[in-house]
Amino acid sequence: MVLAEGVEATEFQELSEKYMISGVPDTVINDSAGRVVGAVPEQNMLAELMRALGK
Amino acid sequence: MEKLLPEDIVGQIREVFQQLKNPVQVLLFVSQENCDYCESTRQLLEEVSELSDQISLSVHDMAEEADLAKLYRVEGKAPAIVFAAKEGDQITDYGIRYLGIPSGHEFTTLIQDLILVSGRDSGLSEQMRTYVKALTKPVHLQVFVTPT
Repeated sequence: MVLAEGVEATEFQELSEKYMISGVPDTVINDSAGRVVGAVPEQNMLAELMRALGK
Repeated sequence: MEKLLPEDIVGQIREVFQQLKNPVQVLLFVSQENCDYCESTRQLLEEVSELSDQISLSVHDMAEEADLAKLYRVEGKAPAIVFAAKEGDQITDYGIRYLGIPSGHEFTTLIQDLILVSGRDSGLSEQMRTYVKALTKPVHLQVFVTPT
């Protein structure tokens, strides 16, 4: 149900450009339905998942 | 061929891997085309997986094993590393992938992913577990990182 990919930005340039990645880590959720820039506490990630995907 | 991992790091990893509880299957998907880091990734994973009996490594060519690449959702993403649980002949995919060579700071990610899958537990909060269990549609998380 969940596919979680760590993506090395310099090797996957088209992807980095597609999502306009500048600072890392940068987490893209469902093709930009959600986004978390930076390393954040689990609570923040959960909040963004809920917002992006609906509760 | 010269080793990628320095001896002192090898010693540290071997020790860290003493804690590995359950077997892990690492599947590396490589490509003959357009993959500058495929060979180095392969060598790195070979050196790391040698350091514990709990880690098995298999290497697959994207073109030759297209069906397998599709099954693991890694098509066109070489080098792609799948971290899966192994119980006898049974492989369980947790949906965990690393795309690219896990070098520099990301080397720790490689080691942590192996420990995570071996431990068979996400270590996440009850709330997160409940939320994820209740999901009815697929979720795709792409965490962009750099080695430096």
